[in-house]
Amino acid sequence: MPRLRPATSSARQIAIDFEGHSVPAIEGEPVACSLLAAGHAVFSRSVKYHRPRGPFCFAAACSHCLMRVDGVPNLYTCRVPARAGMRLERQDAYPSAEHDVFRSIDWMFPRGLDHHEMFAGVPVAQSVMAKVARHLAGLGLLPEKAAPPAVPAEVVSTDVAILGAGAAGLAAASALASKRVPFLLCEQESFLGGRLAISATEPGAPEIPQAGALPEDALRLSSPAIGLYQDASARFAAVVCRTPAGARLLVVYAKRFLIAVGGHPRLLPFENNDLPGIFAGRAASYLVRRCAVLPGKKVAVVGEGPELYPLAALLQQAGASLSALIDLGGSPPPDAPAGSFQGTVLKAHGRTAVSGLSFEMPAGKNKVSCDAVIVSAPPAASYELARQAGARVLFRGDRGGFTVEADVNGRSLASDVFVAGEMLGPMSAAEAAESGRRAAEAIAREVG
Amino acid sequence: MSKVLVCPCEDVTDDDVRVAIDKGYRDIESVKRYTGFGTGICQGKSCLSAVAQMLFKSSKVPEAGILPFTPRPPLYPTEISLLASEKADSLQAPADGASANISFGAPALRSEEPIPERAKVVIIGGGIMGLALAHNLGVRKETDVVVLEKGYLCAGASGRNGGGVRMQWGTPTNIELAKRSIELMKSFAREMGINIWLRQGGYCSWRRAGKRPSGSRAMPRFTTSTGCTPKS
Repeated sequence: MPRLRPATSSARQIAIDFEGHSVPAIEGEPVACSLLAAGHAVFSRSVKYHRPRGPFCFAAACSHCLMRVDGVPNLYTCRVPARAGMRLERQDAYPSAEHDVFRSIDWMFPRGLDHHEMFAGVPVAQSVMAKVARHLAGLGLLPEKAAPPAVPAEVVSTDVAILGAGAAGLAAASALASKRVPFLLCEQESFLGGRLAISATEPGAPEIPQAGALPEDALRLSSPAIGLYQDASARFAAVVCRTPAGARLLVVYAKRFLIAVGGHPRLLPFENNDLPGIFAGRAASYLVRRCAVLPGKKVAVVGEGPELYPLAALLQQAGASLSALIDLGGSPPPDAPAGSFQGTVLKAHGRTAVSGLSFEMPAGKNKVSCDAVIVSAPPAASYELARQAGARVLFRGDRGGFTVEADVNGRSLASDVFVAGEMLGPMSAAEAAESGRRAAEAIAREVG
Repeated sequence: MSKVLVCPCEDVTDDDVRVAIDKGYRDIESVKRYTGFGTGICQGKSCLSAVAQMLFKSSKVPEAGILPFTPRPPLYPTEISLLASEKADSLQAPADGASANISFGAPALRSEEPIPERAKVVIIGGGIMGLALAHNLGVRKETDVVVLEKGYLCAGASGRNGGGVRMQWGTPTNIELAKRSIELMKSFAREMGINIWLRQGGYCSWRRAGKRPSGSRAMPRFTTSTGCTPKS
């Protein structure tokens, strides 16, 4: 996939080693992006049917981009920054991920492989199957060498721990800062803004503040929260701070926790929805906005929700041609681009990467050719941390999935845990910011 | 071959989930255990809402019956060495995933059929013990049996075990029971038509030199006298 512009003078051009081939990269960019820019589509093979996979979410929320990096198995290449001379290898394929003979399993079992009943109780077949499956199963091989000893954990105490620096977390941080309430803001990405920084621009979205606008030492980037725990004294968040020097565990005790980690990209159900070249909507806009890489030259955009049309516009402005836009939610607005239809997606075509898309619209079935399919749908709330803390999580059919139950200020069933933003359900960036600000006001009243 | 993937980490298709729903699995935990969805490296980030949608659209489950499965930290793959970098004695057991104010097993999924007023045998608890009792009564032609379970079948320890079996235990009775269980497991697939993937690869336990907690000294002798051969 083409790079949108030549590297700026400050960007350092390097080379990485991809299974013995030298691939050009820009230092520090996600290495998955370097491979895409160099035209590689197949990153891994799936565990059971050995279907080809390429990066989908760019959010550490799927399994498509896992590779062995410098002898360490199962790393998300969408998270690994490119470094000169690093070695990348694909896993679990024979003789290669490009041509994997075990793909035949996919063809042999068109209706799926039922491990519960297949050969159950058939004396020889059952034990042979167990042996074969045991050899094929598993993800990656053991690391080349033992991991270096970890740096001792850092323990901090603060009034408020804010997890997630998207629209909601940033609005909360600003509100707390203006009231001089001490807080620590932990963000998974290496930049501020969450969707504000990566998705197609929404009308009315707030600005991303400069990092300097927040109090010194109140911000940790590249630091995802991995759990909310409780010990004998209090609740704490476990956060992993990843710096170029290595990773370190950060234990954050706080009087109040505000969880604003957003949601996970959703996979929409259509045939071959896992083919390389199919990207989540925010992954596509991330590639364009942050990496200056076009996910495809000829793209089909499918989905629903407020980001659908801005995303198509972003991709077109970046130079992609739109082969179709399928709105799953309703009929396209009058100013929709040519090739927009209301419809349902039937099937993605292609052997090892997407080459076309079939869909059904009121006028009948249609098929277009494309080299990327972008799936844009409101994300699924990342309820995990809140639920660990004791929040109640409800399924809401009208909101398209799970939402964390909270009062008007975002307080969950666990009284010291607040939630804001897309964890409450799909909402615009402006609404997310407002929910973050409201939660911060309520928290400030309690800890002040 | 065309497939609609619901859980790409574990290659679970929409057909697999549909089969599970048709077989009568109604709650997300049970569908997860039957299909394996949500057990891959992403831990359900990309599939949970899709399966919830399928259950919802099947019209077989009310909205209130759709509860997410229990999230297990770490939320993102994390090196064990990092988790071990905090002083062990200051980390207590993690807070329970489901706190006391969250019901486990959705009340909305409870059967609306009236519970029979009388039965010859009433078994309280639908874990492995209760279900094995009910099954064996059925094999012996006793079918006037009612099993009562507050959540879903095997919701507790029965459905959350690590799947390991062993024969070395501390009492002859326990060893005898374990031996009989393994015999049952060997014929389970033939009798029930369900693979349980039994593989006997040995079992290893070790202890620090010089430290012999009471009871463990006696274990090898017990084990030998009951017909198992320990190796050292």
